[in-house]
Amino acid sequence: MQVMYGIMASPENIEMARRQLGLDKPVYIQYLVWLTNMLQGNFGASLRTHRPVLQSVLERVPATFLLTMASMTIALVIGILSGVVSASKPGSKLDYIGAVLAQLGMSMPDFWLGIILILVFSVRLQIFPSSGYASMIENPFESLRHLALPAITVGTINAAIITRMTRSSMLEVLSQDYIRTARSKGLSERLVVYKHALKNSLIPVVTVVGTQFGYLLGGVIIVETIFAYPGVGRLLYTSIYQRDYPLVQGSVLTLAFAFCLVNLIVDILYLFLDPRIRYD
Amino acid sequence: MKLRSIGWPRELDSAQVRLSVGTSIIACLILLAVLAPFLSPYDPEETNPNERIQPPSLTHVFGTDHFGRDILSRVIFGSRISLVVGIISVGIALFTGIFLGSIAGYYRGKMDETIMRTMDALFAFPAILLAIALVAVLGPSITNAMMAIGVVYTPYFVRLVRGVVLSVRENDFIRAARALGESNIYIIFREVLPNCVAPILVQTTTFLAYAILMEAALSFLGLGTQPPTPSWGRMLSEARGFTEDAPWIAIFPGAAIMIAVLGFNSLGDGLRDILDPRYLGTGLSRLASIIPSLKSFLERSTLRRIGSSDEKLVREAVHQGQNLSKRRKPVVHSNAR
Repeated sequence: MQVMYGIMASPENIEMARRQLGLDKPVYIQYLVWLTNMLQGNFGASLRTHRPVLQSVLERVPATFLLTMASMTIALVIGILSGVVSASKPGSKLDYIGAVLAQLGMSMPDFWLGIILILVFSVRLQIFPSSGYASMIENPFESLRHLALPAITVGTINAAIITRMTRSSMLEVLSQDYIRTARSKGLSERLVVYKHALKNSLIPVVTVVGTQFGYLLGGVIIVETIFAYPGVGRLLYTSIYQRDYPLVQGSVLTLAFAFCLVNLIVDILYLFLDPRIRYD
Repeated sequence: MKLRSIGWPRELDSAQVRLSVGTSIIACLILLAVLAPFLSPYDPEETNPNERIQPPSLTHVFGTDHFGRDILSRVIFGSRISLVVGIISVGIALFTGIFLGSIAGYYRGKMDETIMRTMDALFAFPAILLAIALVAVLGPSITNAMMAIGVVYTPYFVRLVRGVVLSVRENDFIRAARALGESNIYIIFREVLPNCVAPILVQTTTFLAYAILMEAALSFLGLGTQPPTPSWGRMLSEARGFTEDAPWIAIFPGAAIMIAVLGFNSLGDGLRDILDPRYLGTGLSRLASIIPSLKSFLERSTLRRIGSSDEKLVREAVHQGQNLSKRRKPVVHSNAR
């Protein structure tokens, strides 16, 4: 109530507001009302701006979507490539370097990497801006420049996990009989690795990518805050500080919904990647 | 000692390195936390306006922050927060996970359904998002952050323990215990849970790393440790305004987080490989011929794994290095960070 009406609000005004918001009703009734409204797309209004929550959140979704996709692309390209290279020469120096880098990547806090990247690429080299956002449709070049550092921050750490998963999955596939058959037919190592082994080794990687999406969304909240990037994550952060609970609920639900949706897509993707899997 | 000469498998070389690296880092971290008052050159909360934003020097090895506080002292004291938060929050998740997971796995039925569907609901949220939401509701403080991290990680332990209990409960020695009239509580604590130690140990170590990262992230967002308590995440958060002029304020606490997490990650990875059933029966059994205490440990663990009380069979299994169990798939908790 203090957030809405200030600390000087009279007890009468506070009581009236409580009745208007339905806070005088039992908790389970409040929950049912909220649930019914939410299922109808009514997430309530922001306590600060009084704008509909759904509208405020949806405005931020494109920026977060763009950042998530860019980060995932970076993570997949680096992760799969380094995982395959490590697995195709196990025990080599390249493999050890890859393992050490992946271990460091997994141990590095994303907010620290973000600060280091700002320090190097924004402050010292002045190549990329340290904050802000530009629309991809209106100004694609500026948009990419603003996207670069946040996407590299989130993507690099995810790449470490994908590298390890790809490597172990690839090693398992490479030890199977059909790979030995392919090699004994005289096929080149490149053909064996990239044509015969890669597709099968990607099945567990897809699972990781799906679950990793959750971490990616978590990383996005922190990274958007560091780079002042106007996405759902930053909206959540500011709404927590402003104690704007309807907006906190809306942002959390949107991110959780996106996470569940991606997991569903991953489950469906299995059908195409592995013909042995069939859902009834 | 040349391990290869006694049949130490090549696959365990990297596990041994990881174990050594992880143990050394964690030992240093614990020493740092315990001896913090003796090792830190200054009071971590003492401000000194005359020495604001000093670069690293002999007087202040890691430099000073915008309040003139010594960064080295704050980094040393910050290790206490990270360790305490890690241990308590993972402890909450571990004990709740063992309790709920063993009930779900052992009793099955409606109890199992109720517990697991609740855990599924918690899995629907990315870990950090759920922790942020919980702390936002409970209010920012280090205690609430620990509770939130504990709640967020509980489903991972419940799922692990339930899975292991499900596989163990079908063994002959459990049927034998039931036939002897042992109570369910006795069977769970004395027969079932000792068989879950290895996977739980590996997961606990890995999650200590995740918990340290998550505490740092929450403190970075202002939802964990509150000023002036020195915490690595909080220090990074405060450093954001000074990145351009005083990068050392951000570099040292971040490096400390990375090293601590690296320690727990390495230890977890090393333990996972060492406790892998494929190697328990090979390299370690050869090593056990030299170290008697390891030999008796292996015999006990093999006894549990093969579920037989026949002493001769157990000794044979240990000494011949049989591959007694199927290969465990690597567990990935990429969503847990």
